[in-house]
Amino acid sequence: MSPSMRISACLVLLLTFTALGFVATPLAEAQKKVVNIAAKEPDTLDPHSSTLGQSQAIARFMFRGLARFAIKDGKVTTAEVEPDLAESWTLSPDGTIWTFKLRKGVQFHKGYGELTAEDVKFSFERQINKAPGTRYGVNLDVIKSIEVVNPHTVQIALKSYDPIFLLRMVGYQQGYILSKKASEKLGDQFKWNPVGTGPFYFDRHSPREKIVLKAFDKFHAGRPQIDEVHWFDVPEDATKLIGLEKGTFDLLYPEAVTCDFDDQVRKMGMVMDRRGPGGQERFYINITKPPFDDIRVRKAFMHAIDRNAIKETLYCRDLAKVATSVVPPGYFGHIPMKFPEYNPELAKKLLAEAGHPNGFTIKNYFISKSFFYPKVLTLAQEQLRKVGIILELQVVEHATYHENIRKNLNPFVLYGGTRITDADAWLSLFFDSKEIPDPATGNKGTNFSHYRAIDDLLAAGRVERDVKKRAAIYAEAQKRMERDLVCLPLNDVPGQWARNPKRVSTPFPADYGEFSLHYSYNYPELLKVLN
Amino acid sequence: MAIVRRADPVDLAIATAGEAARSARRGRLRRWLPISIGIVLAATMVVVAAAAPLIAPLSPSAQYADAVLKGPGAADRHVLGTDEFGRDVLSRIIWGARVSLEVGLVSVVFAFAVGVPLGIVAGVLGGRVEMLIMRGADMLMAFPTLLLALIIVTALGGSLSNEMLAIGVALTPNFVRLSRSLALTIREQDYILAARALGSGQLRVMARHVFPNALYALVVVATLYIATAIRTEASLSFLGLGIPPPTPSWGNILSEGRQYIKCCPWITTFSGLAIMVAVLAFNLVGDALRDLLDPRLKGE
Repeated sequence: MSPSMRISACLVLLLTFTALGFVATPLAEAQKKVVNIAAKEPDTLDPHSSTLGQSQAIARFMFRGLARFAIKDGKVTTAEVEPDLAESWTLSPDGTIWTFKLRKGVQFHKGYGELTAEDVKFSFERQINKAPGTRYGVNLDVIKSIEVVNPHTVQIALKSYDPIFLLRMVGYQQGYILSKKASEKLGDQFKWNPVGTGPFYFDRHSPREKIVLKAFDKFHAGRPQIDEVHWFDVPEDATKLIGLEKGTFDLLYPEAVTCDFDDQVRKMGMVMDRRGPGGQERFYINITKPPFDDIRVRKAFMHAIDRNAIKETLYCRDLAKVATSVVPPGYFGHIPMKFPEYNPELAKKLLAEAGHPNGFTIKNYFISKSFFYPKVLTLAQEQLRKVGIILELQVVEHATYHENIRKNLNPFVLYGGTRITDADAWLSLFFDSKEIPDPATGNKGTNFSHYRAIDDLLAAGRVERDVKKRAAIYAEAQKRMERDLVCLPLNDVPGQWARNPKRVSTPFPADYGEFSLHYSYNYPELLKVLN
Repeated sequence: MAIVRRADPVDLAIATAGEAARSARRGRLRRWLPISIGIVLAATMVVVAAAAPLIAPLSPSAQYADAVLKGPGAADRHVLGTDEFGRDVLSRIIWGARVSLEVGLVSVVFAFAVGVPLGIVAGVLGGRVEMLIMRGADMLMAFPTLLLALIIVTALGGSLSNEMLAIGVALTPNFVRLSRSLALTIREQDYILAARALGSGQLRVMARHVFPNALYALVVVATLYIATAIRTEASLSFLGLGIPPPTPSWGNILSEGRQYIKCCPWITTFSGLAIMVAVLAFNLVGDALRDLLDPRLKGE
């Protein structure tokens, strides 16, 4: 072979390898199974620290609890739990000591070692001790002490019997277990460097762009099929829909699923994954703030609100149901309640009787610019105007809204939420006097009605072991609230995400195949990328 | 080799009297058509805004649960369709004209009233007073109009009066700069010298001689800034920092319609058209006024 031929052969080989090098990497990238989610950016990735829906939804991808909602007949239920990080548990005969045996070999992300009883103790105690930023300590108030028996056994002593303690232990809000070592090492940085035991671990965060999660090879229930989850910050629902249609996004977490949103998703051939029990949108009336301290004004307010019109305008067909109680259906203890019917004439009469013949004006009424808040309030504002109640709105960011309603700046508060599916947890958070927000003490609770008349029932319900008697206690609580007119529930709205079924599959039926709370997918590890 | 073009006989033809008249008509038409269109559009807008309660077919905030997101003509009474709450788009656009005009006029009057005296004082007095005023104006001008208005509205809160104030403040330095530059030219004129020789004080010179002579240029610019103010108001409302609901403004109609742009484009289309027509109208009027009043453009 001549020298020139040798040089040519070398060059050809060199070019071939170079080309292969260039091609090999994109091929590997292309073979990755990536799910692209369009949602809002979470405010933190510390699972104990945020009440925002998107923060709680992403937490379930990275964190787990001692228990999880059970799969029954191919569907996920929020009424029953089964072991998750715990292998088993026992309850002492007096009902106050729970002993959890932890599953062995469960690993934390990023080499933070095996899950031990110390991590469980740490995760609950940081909330009970109200570590800065934590929000769910109130759900663990029932705990007296936590003892580490051995690395895989933890004993939790309660102040008194708690009928829903196992629900509190589910991987949701206060129930998530995080790495003690990581939390202590990272301190304030933990909220953007979370370390849990879930199916995906946190990889990186590009602010205002996306969060990347990667499959955790050592996940105790087996590595997920999906390699990466890209959680994009997309605030606008219209942009999310365009992305879904163009194939940029596979899953959408909408701000609000209105008729138009639902129609567009279905026209594209996509599906809505609909989940109960969902959230409830409602008006709390602050009974300590004039003129709403007069029950006639509260009644007039309720007569002025046309709940059917709000539901039909925003959530046509079966996108939501007009609420029937302050405890939503699907929650233990729910009974149907009666609320004043829409009757603007009667409302005007009641206002006149209460000394407001010409109505009144509420200045600087704050409302969030996000989710369903501006929509519901725009509808209610016009209905209230018809009876003479004028609302002068200040539209603010969602975080500011949360801050202002806890400073008691609004005489009635629009709020939506979902909580552990039991009347005790629900009513304790929203109507127990301990939860009355007070800027002077820093209490950031959610009893916006400032209601105190069911404290005795809540206390009795917490120690009652008989299921029927418990149900009767909560029925009585709802009757008292019906009498006192402290809260007007508007709509029960299921949790809904839009999904491209050609790209991502879930083992559960789209229509109420899963019951879930804030997170949409209880089992994100079971999602699969198709093609 | 040089190319020489021989003149055609046509080139050398002398225009007849008829052609000259036609040319003059074309010239007049070119000159008056834009101003006529501008004046008609602006006048229509003023009439629509003033007579909104009489000509709007429905209340701008009335909600019709049975006619949510209906297209133009799809539901009875809703000529331009309805929005997400079943509100009539036409009625909201008619009422929205009030807000746009109010903000446009009041903010420009504010900027004029504050900016022109300051600019004339700076131009006539000079020295430290001028430096102080002009550096202040420069500081404000360092921010784009929309950004400055946005900062002010964010600080004060969204309301009609705050929006007017914010846009007015944001436009003020433009009037300061213009009136100062006009005053600098005018103060060198012989009639100013004559007025001083006759014993006129500074204040009298400014009020009786500088201001009236600067007025034509200032009015032209003010007209153009009405269009800017309308655009800025629409932008602030679009960003959710304008007038709070349920008061309609073109910007917030556009903003609310944005999320329904795929299914229901009529909301954004008609509100966008309204903004476009209003801005066009005031720009045409402003341009035409400049053409008419600017001596340098006379005879063009």
